[in-house]
Amino acid sequence: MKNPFKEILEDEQLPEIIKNRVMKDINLINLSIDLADLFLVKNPEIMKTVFDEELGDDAEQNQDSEEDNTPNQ
Amino acid sequence: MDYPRDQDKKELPKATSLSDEELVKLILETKESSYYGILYDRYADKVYNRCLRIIPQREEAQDLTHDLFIKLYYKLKTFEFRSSFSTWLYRFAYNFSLNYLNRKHKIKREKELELNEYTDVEVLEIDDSQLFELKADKLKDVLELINPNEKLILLMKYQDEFSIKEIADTMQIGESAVKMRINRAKKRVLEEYKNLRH
Repeated sequence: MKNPFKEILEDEQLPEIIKNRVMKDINLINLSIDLADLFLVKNPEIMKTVFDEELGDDAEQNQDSEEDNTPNQ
Repeated sequence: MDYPRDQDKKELPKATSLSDEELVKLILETKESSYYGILYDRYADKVYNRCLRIIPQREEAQDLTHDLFIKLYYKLKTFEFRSSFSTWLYRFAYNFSLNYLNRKHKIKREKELELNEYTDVEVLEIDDSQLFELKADKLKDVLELINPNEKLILLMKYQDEFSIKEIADTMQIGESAVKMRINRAKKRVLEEYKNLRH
């Protein structure tokens, strides 16, 4: 038996401008995500490593100087 | 904005010959929007025509298709490669349209509950042959008169030939509820069709 639902299928073309809008919006969202990732995740991580290293160096220096100041018994 | 580099220019023609599933993998690996453009070209018209069946206004259907393709890009990672990409995409499109319709018509919880109570009332099962006897042009008019959710479920079943399980997954309801809703929608169509003739 013929299915009338198959006969009412539309066959319209989507305007090209929609594709441009979709691609533009995706690129913009990707750029925003990358920038947010750079400034909110990667940058703080780098800063953390830098400070950790500096603090580590300072601590080592302090330890060295403390050892130097210890009087010989 | 992103402009294709020389390497991409060479890679793109190769990507056009890939299957949908391979293309999805490539998009997920590279996050390259130009590959997504190929997938868009393959399905944009099909998805647009599905949106158009649910929302007959062209501009609104175009906006819906635009929003759908943006959401789809970020939802590609949820595709589990279990079914074909096209089936998954059409289910995604129906789900997206359904959410849009519900937001638009602001179906409240109470109304939904009322609707569920109504589904519990048994309706005599209507045979598909009764539906297939209808004239296509009149059926099109009738589908505009019934509830959009009922229209959607009938289109999934009879136009895209989704299984009951696929409809249940798409609508996030049980299989028995799907069967009841289909039967209720068929009853509504037959009633409206009868009224249209008089």
